[in-house]
Amino acid sequence: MSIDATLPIGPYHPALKEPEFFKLFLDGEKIVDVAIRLGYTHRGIEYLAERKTYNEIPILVERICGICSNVHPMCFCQAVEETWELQVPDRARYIRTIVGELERIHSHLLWAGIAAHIIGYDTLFMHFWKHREPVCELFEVLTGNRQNYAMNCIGGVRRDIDPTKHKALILETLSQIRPSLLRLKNAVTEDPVVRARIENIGVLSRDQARKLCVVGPVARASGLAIDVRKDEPYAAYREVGVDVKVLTEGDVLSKMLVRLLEALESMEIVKRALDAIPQGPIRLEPKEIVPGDGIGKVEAPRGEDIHYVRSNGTDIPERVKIRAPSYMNVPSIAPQIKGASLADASLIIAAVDPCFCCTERIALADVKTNRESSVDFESLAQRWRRKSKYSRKDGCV
Amino acid sequence: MKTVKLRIIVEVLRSLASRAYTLKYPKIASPAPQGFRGKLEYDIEKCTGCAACVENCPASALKSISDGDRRTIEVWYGKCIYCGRCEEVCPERAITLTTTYSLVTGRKEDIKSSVQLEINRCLRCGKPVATARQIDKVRLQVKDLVLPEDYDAYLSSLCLDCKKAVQAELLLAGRM
Repeated sequence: MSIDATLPIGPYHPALKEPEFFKLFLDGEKIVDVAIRLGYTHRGIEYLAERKTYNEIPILVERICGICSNVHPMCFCQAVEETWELQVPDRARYIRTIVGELERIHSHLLWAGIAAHIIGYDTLFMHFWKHREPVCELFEVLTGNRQNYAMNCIGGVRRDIDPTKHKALILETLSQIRPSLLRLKNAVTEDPVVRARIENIGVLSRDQARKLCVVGPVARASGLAIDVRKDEPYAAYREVGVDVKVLTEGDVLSKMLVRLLEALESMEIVKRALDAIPQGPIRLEPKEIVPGDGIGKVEAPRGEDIHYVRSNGTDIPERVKIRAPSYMNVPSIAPQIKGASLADASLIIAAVDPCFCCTERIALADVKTNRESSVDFESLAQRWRRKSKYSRKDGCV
Repeated sequence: MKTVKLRIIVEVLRSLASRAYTLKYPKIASPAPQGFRGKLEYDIEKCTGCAACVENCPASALKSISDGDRRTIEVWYGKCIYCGRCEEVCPERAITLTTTYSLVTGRKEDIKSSVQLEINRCLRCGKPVATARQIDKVRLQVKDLVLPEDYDAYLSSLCLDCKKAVQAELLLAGRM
């Protein structure tokens, strides 16, 4: 097996939001090996958190990720609540569940849209994002912002959900997007071109998934039934219950389906939580800062998120450690991408969902001639889309 | 093949008949819903200049500048992250996050807003004490306490050091 070219993708985004660096070793069109390098998005959040007060940190950790902006503060607050032995009011636990599940819906729809965009099916992309929009607008009403909801605080939540006005609005929005989402799910599974592009591509076997300790939808698409909501229930998941969706194929199609099924399940969870939400206070004022340490675990849309907090009794924590789910999932790209064709590289990287963003330039290097050239993102995207066109011509439609 | 083409034609006709989903935003205003966390606004009548908002702002968008006889509470919208902490902690309910979100401007002055409050000086030594409104608020709160008659006029307008000295004098004179 010879390597005739290497293709560096990144560091300013391969296809995804976080700047990561992927060096693809190519044999013709075939990817022989991949080298992954992380660390471009280091912003010193943990360092900053060790210099801010407990009230300020939820607002800081909220800005780790624009998509999971409820997950991180909720996880941090849970870690602090465990340290200080605070009993969060029931109503606050239910509100956290509702906001968390709505966030999962919008995150999975966002991802599905991006995946459709990469395979060149922009109509599907527009449709996914169209139905994500009502969820974002719902957040504007419920929390005051489309992203960065600022809902969590230590000891509860900061805003209440109105039992009549907000409940009716949530139910209306969900009933409005549910049929469309089912239709889009069928579009993914029934459209021969889409199927041809995502089926049997980027396969991660159950054994590999277990060995690489992947989390979230990536693990569940490979047949590992792990979900923090089920395994170690937090917020109100013990009461409302979760039906964990597991698929066994491990390819991009099952990663897409598992996310869409989860979005549909999230709608059911929101409905159940809205029905069961108890009356009462939404926030508990902490009485004292107890020294000790605690761990918060939350199932983010991308998998298990962990925050560790050590308190020394002052109003500033001694140590804050954050492990976001993408950190576990990114190494799983290597076994998935080996043997795939170059045109599928971006889709396989994206399927792990380490956050999407705008890449501007990609450098191409030909090892044989030792010539380096630079192409912009669009021209490489053309190549990915051309493959869709070929699939169409091959008589799939 | 035929059914697929037919389905495409039906979809095209349906799309042609339906209205565009996107909003014509800059041309047609798209107001934010009630409860949106937008531009911060002060109620100048209510603010006492206690600077609780400054203390609690995680982004340091708020600043309190005291120079001699004036205290200025200043907010830079460019730094503001719209978290609403200031609204939550304001004891006077003088801060509200309005639903205004479009703050685009070419002038630097437009992204700044401030409240200016008068600072009272200590009647005994002349050091700046607190804003006039804060002193008024303290007076209102201690109204029902049994205190010497001249507390209102004199003692509450002193700085901490002078207050201690005067209280000691009063105590020695047997008036407290």
